[in-house]
Amino acid sequence: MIGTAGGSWRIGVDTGGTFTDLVAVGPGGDVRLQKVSSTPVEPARATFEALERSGVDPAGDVDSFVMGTTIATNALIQRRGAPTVLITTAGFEDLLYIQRIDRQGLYDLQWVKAEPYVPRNRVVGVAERVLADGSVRTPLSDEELARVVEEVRRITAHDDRPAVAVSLLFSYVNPSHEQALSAALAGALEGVPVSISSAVAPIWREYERSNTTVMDAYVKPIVRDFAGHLVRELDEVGMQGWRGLLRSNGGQVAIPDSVSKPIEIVLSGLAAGMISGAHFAGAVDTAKAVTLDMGGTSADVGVIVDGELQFSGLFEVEFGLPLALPILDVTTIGAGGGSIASIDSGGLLKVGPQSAGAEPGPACYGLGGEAPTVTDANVVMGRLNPGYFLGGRMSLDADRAQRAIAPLADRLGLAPEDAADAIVSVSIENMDGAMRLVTVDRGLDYREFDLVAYGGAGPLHAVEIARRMGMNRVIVPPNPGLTSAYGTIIADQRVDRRVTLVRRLDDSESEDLPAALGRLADEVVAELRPQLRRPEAPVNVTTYVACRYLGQNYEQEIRTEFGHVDRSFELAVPIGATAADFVARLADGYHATHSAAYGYEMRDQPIQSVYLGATALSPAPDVAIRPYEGRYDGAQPVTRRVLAEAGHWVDARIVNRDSLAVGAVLGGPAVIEEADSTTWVPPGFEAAVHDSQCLIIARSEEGRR
Amino acid sequence: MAWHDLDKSWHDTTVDYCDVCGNLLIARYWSFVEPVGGETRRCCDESCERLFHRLRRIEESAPGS
Amino acid sequence: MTGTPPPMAGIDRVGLTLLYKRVRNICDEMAFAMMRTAYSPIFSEGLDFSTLVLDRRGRLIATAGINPAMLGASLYAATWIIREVGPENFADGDVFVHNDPYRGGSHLPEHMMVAPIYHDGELAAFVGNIAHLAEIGGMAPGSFAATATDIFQEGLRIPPTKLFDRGEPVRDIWRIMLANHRTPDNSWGDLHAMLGSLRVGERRVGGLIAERGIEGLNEAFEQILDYAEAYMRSEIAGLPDGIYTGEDCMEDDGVSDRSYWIRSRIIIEGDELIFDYSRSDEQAIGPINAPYVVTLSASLNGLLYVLARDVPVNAGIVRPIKVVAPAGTITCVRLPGPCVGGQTEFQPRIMELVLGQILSQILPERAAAASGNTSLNFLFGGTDPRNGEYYAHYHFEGMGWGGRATSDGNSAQIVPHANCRNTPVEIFETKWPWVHEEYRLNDDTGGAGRNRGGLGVRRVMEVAGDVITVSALSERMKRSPWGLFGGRDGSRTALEVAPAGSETYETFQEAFGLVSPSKFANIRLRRGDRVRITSPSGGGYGDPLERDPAKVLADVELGFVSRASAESVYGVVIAGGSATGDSGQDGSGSGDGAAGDAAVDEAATAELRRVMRDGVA
Repeated sequence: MIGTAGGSWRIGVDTGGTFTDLVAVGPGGDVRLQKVSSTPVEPARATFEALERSGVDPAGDVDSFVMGTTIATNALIQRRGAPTVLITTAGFEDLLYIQRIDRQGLYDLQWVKAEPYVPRNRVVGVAERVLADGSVRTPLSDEELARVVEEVRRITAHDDRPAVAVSLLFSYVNPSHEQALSAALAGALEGVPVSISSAVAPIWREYERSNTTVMDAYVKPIVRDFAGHLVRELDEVGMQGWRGLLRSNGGQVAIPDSVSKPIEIVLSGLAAGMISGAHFAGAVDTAKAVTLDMGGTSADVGVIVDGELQFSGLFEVEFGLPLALPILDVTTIGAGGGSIASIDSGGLLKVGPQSAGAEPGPACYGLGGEAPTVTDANVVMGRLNPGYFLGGRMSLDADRAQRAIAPLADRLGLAPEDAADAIVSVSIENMDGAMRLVTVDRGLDYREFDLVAYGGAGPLHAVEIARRMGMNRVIVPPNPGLTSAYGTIIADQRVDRRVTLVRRLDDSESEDLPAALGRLADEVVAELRPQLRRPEAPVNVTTYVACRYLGQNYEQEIRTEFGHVDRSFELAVPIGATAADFVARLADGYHATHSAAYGYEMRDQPIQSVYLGATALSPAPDVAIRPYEGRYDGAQPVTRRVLAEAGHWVDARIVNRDSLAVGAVLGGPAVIEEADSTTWVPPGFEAAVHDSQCLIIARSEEGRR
Repeated sequence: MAWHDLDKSWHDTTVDYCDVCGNLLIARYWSFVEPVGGETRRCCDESCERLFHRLRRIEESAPGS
Repeated sequence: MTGTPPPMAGIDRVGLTLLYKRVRNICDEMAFAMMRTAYSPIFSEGLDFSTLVLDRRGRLIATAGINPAMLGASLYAATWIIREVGPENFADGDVFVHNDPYRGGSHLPEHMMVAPIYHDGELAAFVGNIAHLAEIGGMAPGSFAATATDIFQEGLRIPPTKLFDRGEPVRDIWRIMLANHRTPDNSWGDLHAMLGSLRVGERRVGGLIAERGIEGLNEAFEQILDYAEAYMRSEIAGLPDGIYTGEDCMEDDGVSDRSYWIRSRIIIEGDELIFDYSRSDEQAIGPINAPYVVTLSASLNGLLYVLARDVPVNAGIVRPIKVVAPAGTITCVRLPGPCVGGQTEFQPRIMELVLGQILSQILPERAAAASGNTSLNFLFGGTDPRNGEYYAHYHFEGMGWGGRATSDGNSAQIVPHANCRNTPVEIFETKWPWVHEEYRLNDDTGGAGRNRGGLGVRRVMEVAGDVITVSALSERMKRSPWGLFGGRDGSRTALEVAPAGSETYETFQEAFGLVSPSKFANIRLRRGDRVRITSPSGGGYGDPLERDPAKVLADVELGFVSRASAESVYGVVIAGGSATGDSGQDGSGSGDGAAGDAAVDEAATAELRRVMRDGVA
């Protein structure tokens, strides 16, 4: 990928579990790409190593430095967070243990329920009670306030950098008790961060809200240290540019601001890839696309509708530990290049979710792995070039791959290469299932969608997936293995907020909806404005109301673009039309959305709002990309034997991606190789290089017949 | 030892049960004559007849278990 | 023979895997549609439903992994509907509804819908679903009449009936159904959620047929069934031949004090298995009886819990298995026996009998001690003073699960034969006029063992409407959840009430002079009355004296086990700290040994354990 002339360097970094990737776009269209091994203990070290290797002068003309990080994610997964105290309504101290009482697998008698982040003896019950309508049944007395503060002081007395979470019943309706506690704690316990649920996630369902608040507190000291460390190091190398992190909602946030609500950067790393996927979907003018980021151990699937990434209100760190915040809607399944193939007790072939990971890795890495993996299958099939893995920095052992697959092939009664084909097919079916759910769950017909594929292993499988599902085209961005790092550069700045507001639309109680929505819009703008990298940058505000038929328990978000928010962000003006008109249009929108998603609507049923949402967004400046200087003319084709499908070997053309100029068209069978990924174009398909340098792969004329 | 139709009038909403396993008999049933006692039994299909004999055999070899 | 069954000739195994996954995906898509659009929290929050893809004879090909309690009905009900109606009497656009427990249903609240799928005028397959409607009439709001003595008191019974005729709603039927439900708006919404889910299934199965043709698809379906059969046979063949027995009972039937015994024996011969319940008691007067499919579900679920977890669940798995449950016994109810509690109380009892008592004899490492093993159904209805509208709700409670070979039982988990979620307090109180005082774990109750039973929960809530009519259908009030391999029993269920203004709780039985402590109907509570629901805890696994003292200490520090029990039951002496332990009925929920200064007194513990074991001081 080559950038066009710009003023100064924009640097993006993605720190993954295995690799840390860096993309820098600089003056004169200069682009630097780096992939180095991650340093999980000290994530910043790999970052600075990549920066140094890239040759970009950090003290030079740097516009911005933005990072996608897994620091908070890992703290949650590995449980390395702060010793945390939870303060909750007395009588409900066990909500973190009770959870939602369901279990992960139907027939798994051995399953162990997830351990809460806060053990029971660090939960403090407070005598207070707010009711469903916000009225106070039991006031919070000064004496109780003092008692709770003392209790927290006692529990945290010997802690190393503790944190406190406060989550009281119905605080999303009336936050006054939480706010009083927060103020009292801040006054009494200096330096101990306090997260309150009415600020972190003001939504109903006490367990989900409380757990989200607990996770926020739990990662706060770690994120604060990480951010402080990063800023100091950036100062040391003399970097002058704006410094930010990527949030789970796909927006950039200035490093200091990320510290106040660190739960918002939990999916930082995943978000980076999806932002990029959406960007390239836009670059080739596709309004509907599924993004597939497939790496070594897992595949992340997202959806783009009307050119926009979709959001979800719930994400589980592990089963039973939900994070209830607007985050980019991504489904992760255990299907990657390292996924292991095996035979189940019914005699059928299974692939994943176990993975060989980076160590020992697939058998062909020669690092001691013996189990057959998807990567091994691709080597046996000739689709991966053993001599050009990671651009030749690592070589693969085709014999080992073959040997790993042989026993499995015997049991299946297949030739090794046909067993390899079967492994790839089953792995593709696993992804197919996830992709169908991601779309159909949201009422979307995937047959109208393109597939944007990236990550090291995505482009290798994408065309087969799209063919099987009957999807349109496959889009492969340039440098697909570095797509996530690129995403951090091009991410917008954005703030999302949600607040629960339950109102019947057929009742006068709904009159306050537009005003409440206006206030929420004000709030997101007020939060975003001081963070803006360019104070003069335009801010777009969108709002939505989540509704359902009265009696239903899941809601759908209805966009409310009725011009009631002033884009100057100076003022969210009241809705122009009357409140009744607003509500009537909202109801129409809901009926239509329900019908589109589930095939029916119920006009005679009352509708209820559940929560309101608002997003303030400041788009990042464009990064244009200058074309490759392609030299490929097909005059002296290099070919390799590749298994196109079971029992069918073909001579595929082997082409280096750098040599393909804009406008070039390459018919399958072909393998397009680049340092960080490989694209397989089966017979009957052709790849065309789009102006954006994306490969667009579709059925060829010949294939269509 | 033959299939029979369960003739029920449309307004008869009662149901019948297999004499061997207890499952429902719907539309038709399999009948056989018990070797000891000579009673006619109605059951799901041939497999239930085999089950009948099998249980009897088990009973004879390990009574009351 | 164990392990992999012999290769099946002429079968494309990879193709089969791919197809089965696609059919499973269809079921998942149907389930999502249902969850997102349902009205009753018991199926939107609680996920009390199943979605099915069936072949043209109604045989189950795949089901979404939602509620295993419906397995028996999923396997048989559609087949029965099709046979009774006659395949020739179906038409494109028809939808049949059915909830008849004498015809393959589990109990009246669970409604099944099936729709045929045609291709070029020829019947190709069926899609279906089963969902628990919250209110379907009968003698008590919430349709869980614990004192019913026949099925006519339990609600509206519907034999296979056309709800849609060639795409048009059969309005008379809809009107009869809705007129018999107390909350018809809710039913209208839930029935539409079920219909929407069928539409999703129709579209997707239609796509499969277009791809493969009717014959091609049904041939593949046949192979999927054969595969599941081979899988089960292979698993069963791995179990030692023999006859294994066990028994347990239902404490009472709600209308009399008598208990009813379930006597089970499992006969394993080669790769086939028989569940024989023919020695069980005759059917009860009250609603604890099981229809045949419930006994079948329970048996299969118990087996599936200890066998491989990833067996494809379809009609093939029952081929090597026979369930003998003679009509007229408590294991196969005859008309007019009531049976609403069979699904929720009898089913888990049998399931744990199979997996805990019987299979533990041959697979101790995969077994578990008894869970609380009651759904603890608590039903209520009334008029909400906040909006004047009538409501009814079917509430259930989580409980402790039994200890297992390698870990303690989970606390606050749904009964093992189901997989439903609780209703959050904030949703509960927004929807219905109750105010909760507490909802917490019930300390120091888990059955002691090398691996401890999980804790039950305690819920206290106050009536915030003028009158609320409540009913309950529960178990484990007279007999405790059993421990396994020397583990102690868990604790029991309690349903108590304190009249407005009083701090004294008494059982519902005492307060209202009831026949059964656990099963009652239509008790009228008034504003300010408080209800205390205590769910049972799980039994322990293995000798408590073998429990790692460090785990006992941790339990004391967290308040799960009292310091007194640590000594008297586990033989573990804890020195130092201020671990008071006995947090008891009004415990604050936090143990008090947190400062880290409490420790196990190793010497005293060793001596105490020796004495407890040998009985010599």
